[in-house]
Amino acid sequence: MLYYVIRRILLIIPVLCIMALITFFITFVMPGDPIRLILGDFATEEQIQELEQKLGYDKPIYVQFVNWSSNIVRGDLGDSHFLRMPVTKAIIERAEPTFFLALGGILIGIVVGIPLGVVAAIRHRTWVDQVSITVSLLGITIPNFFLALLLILIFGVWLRVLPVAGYKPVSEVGFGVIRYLILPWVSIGLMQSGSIARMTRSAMLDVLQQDYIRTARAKGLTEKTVIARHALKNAFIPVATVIGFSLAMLLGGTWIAETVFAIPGTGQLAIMSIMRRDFPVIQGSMIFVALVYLIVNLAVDISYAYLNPRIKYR
Amino acid sequence: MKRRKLYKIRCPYILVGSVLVIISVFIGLFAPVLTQQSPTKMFPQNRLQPPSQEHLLGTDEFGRDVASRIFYGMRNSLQVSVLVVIITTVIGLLVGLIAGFYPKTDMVISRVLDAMMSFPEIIIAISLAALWGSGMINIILSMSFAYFSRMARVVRASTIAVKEVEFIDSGRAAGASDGYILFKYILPNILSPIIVQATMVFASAIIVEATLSFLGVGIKPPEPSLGGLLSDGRNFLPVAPWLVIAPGVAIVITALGFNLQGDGLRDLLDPRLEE
Repeated sequence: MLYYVIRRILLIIPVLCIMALITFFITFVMPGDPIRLILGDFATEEQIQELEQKLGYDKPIYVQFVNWSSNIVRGDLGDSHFLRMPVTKAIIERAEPTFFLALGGILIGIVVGIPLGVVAAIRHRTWVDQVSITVSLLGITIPNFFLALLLILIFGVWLRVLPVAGYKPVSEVGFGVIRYLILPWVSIGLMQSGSIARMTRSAMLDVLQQDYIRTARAKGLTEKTVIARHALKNAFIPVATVIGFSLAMLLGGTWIAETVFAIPGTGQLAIMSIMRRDFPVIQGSMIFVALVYLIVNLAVDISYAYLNPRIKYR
Repeated sequence: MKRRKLYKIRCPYILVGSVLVIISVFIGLFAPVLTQQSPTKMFPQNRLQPPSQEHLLGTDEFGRDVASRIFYGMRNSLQVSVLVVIITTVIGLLVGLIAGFYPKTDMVISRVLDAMMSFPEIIIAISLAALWGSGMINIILSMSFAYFSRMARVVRASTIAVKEVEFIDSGRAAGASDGYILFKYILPNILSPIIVQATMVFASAIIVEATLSFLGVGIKPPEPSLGGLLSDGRNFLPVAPWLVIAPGVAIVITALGFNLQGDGLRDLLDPRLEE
């Protein structure tokens, strides 16, 4: 077991290196000149050269990459050109809303998605199944920002019960933060519930055909016990994979929802930085997204190996 | 016989999906015929009119006809998506076939694909589109870059599965070259997962293009795009909700059509489902 964990952690290293390379490559090939953007159109040639030297943009690409990646290893993602603070600090400052958004979104996804999938599987090939499939397919098809705008229209504009945008940190408003989070939660959660429901349904259909389900029924257990104790428990592994995957994506940043609801999280920071070509923050955000993704997935994989004795850890 | 039965069960999805796809493709192809009004010409005196007989879906803040902007937006959206699907399929196919057929290259290719997978596709697409600048070609390239790895993984996995089957050995014994085996023996046998994947990429491409345009890094205004329409409309949400609802529904209809088809096709073509 320990051997498995160590091996999995070591396997992340090459992926991280390639990831850093991709991030650097993506941000390097962009045409916008960050120096001109910082200094504006009226900068003199001297000012430009001076800043280029200061930020290291005058050096050859490979030198820039080596410097940049050795800084990352030390946890230094550089300084933002615009915010006048280290990128790491900027990301950490904005982590609170993103964390709440991801957690609430995935919870709604689970609470709606799993029952939807289970019901569809139990009533396979009936109208219940059809409705469930349609609803979950709609969930993954409706673009996040459209759903968000519809929610704003209904609850913010027509009913006027919830704020249409913005965010206040927990330290200021305590539980009042929920008012700002409900609409984004629903918009994220419904999308997640679509994929969770689909996976639950197909995993349940697989399990329900197994011999041990027939045995469980044959020995006279109630249908409820068969479904909950025997079927759902065994169907949960693939569903947990989807949940882990979604959670990893959401923690990396709910970019669209944060933008639509004007919530100052890591995703909004990333989008804003892309718009103003704040290279260090863009690179930092991408590294952050990928790192969160890898860590959450690693945690999910390790917890499987722990929870499911059938998985051989080699 | 069994296949027929399965087809019957899955038929509603493929049928509904096909109808939606045909509607959106028809609108996209015949946009100039379907509407006489220009999607870009402004009539400030007609601004923000609610839906009426003259303007079926009302007008926007510059008095432009929303229906014709949606029709042309769908046209642009489908154009982008078709090209993205073609590019991702061709590149994904080549990369996947090579990785699946030559285990030595697989070591490297799979690591790169793994690394690409740890960035959500939409984030790669947004970053690249923003960095390369908006415009049709740039968003097509950035979306293709974001999505080809998905196709490559599917092709790689199917190639590995087919490679071990005896008829490949018999082909080799008959003196066939690697290229001949790859394209004449392996490719025809992995077509169904590729078709299903391509349909799914199509649906995603519609949504991603809309997202990019919504964020202002997609199709350049005043050229209409579904995401751009939503983004313009959100400023007038309280007074003119149709500006958001109509293009949103258009996106959902188009993407849902391809998703339904993808689902139906997967079940239809997946041999494991033949009980």
